[in-house]
Amino acid sequence: MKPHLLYIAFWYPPSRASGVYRALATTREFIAAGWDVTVITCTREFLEDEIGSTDESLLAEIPSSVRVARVPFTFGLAVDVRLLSWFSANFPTVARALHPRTASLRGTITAISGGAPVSHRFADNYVTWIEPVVEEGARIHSRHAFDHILATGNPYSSFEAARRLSEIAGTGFSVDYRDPWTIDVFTGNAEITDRATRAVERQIVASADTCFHVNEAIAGAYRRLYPEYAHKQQVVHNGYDAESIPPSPRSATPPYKFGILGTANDRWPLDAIFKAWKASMPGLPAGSELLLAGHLGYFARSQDVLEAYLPNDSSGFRYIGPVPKAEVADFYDSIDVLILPVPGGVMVTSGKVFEALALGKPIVCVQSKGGGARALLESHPLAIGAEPNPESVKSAIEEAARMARDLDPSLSAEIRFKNTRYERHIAMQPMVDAITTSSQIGDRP
Amino acid sequence: MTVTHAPPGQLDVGLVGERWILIFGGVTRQGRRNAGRAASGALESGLDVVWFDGFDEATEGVLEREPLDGTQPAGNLVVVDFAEAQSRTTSSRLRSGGSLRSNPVARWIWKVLLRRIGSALRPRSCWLVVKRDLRALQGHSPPEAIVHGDDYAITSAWHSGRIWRSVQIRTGWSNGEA
Repeated sequence: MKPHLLYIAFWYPPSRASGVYRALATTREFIAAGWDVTVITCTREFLEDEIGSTDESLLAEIPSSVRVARVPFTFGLAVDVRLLSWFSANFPTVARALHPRTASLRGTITAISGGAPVSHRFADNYVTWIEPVVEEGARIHSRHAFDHILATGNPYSSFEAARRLSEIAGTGFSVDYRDPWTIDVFTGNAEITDRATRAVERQIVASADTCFHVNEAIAGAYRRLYPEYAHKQQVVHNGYDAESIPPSPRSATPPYKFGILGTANDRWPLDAIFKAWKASMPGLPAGSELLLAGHLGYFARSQDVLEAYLPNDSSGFRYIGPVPKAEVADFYDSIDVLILPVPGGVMVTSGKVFEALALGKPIVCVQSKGGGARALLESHPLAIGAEPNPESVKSAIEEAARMARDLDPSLSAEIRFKNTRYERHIAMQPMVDAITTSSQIGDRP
Repeated sequence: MTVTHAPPGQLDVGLVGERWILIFGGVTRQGRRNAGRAASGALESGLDVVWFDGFDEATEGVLEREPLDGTQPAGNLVVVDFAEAQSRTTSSRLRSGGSLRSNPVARWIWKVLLRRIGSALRPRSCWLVVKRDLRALQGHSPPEAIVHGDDYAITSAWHSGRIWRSVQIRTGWSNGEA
């Protein structure tokens, strides 16, 4: 009989949140390793009505044998302001604060009447998802027992749901931190200082079999935060999907195409890049272009605001819109230089950096010195780190254009070969191995 | 582009053209930034902008960036600075605590109770400060959109939505939990 994994992933297709790709890869790798996988995620209604954006093409990426259970969740405050009640509209901060607390009160009443114990008095916008997930998980477990529970965060309420379910099911659980919870990913300082939340995180870390992190900086921060559980902190890099990398890259010929791919957000140093691009244009071969591909913001409402922020076409800039996953390799093949905008510091690596590593093309990584993405690219012979200011980015763009012109195909091939170690299938393997070991699956008759 | 600043209650409707958008920036730095972005986009599209700004810092340099092609935005910007007027409201006095903060017992009461009440009342208090100007704009052509920059601006946007029932209300840039 196959081992059974319950995977709690709030963001799962058709969500197009950045964490979805790691979640998809996780389910794929466990299926490939011979596990049965059940995913608990949020509903389509939440994604469509409250987030306002989905990517239907990602549904095809879910392995056919994965069972998906969708558990409802709502923020309680509708996106459309017109739909708010008089009270929510006039006292929005109170309404927002009350929503999880009234849920907590409902939980207390449930507990008094013999229901599940209340364990989620902590700061997270998704705490009201915990009880329904625990209920659904217990129902699934009664029909097909789990061998392990894995939760990915954010939201970190998923971790608490996993801990609670592990008590009910009597199985081990692990947590996958895509970002740190109580530590500020941008500064490394304490992000959440309230005692209840820190206590819940400590309890989760103490009870979990393994805590996975996307980079060494975050794992190190957690080792320092919980030294008694340092041995549980393990790094599982994001990696890249092999189908996103062009199989045989073409040679760069002028005019050059510089490309940015990803979901743009207000933390990206886009202003510095656009100003640098404008300043670099006269020195580049005529007809060179800067292409921006991807969604503008995560929420549907972000699109208009960011669109107004983009330069016009006459400046050699072109916004080409979202690129379906199946066409990412074509986009990479069409560009000569990749520009990688990354905010934050040492803990921020960005999933896209692994695709950048494997392309074998010049890369301009725009991130402050000491940033996680720049550290990963440090030994890459075609990567240029740039500070997020127009002067630094301009000189990096000019250097990258020279690199594209003089690029030796054998060097490109060597880089591509060397970085296959970050291929998602290989990168995710330590997670499968650790959970298989801790669940003692290998010892089964 | 012309930029005109006005205190609340003294908005000159004559400065606003036929095509305009209404922005409530709220009272936070994030709200100011969101509103600035929305205003930049609208101005570059040739729309006039009426922006209610309650963030308590100078309004210089609020437009997020200069256009890359060096052209000046075509629309006119009217900024109603209501931070000072809002600071005289009950909600603001409760939030700041004033002389209560010098006495330990009073400070405790302020911290656990009054400050929270002040914050809870703040969105409505912003609306009460700006609604006179909204009434003046009622006779004007409807805005093309209503934008709110933070949670404190929701109340003003909601009430404006009741004035102009067919106008789209949208948020400014928002922190995603994705």
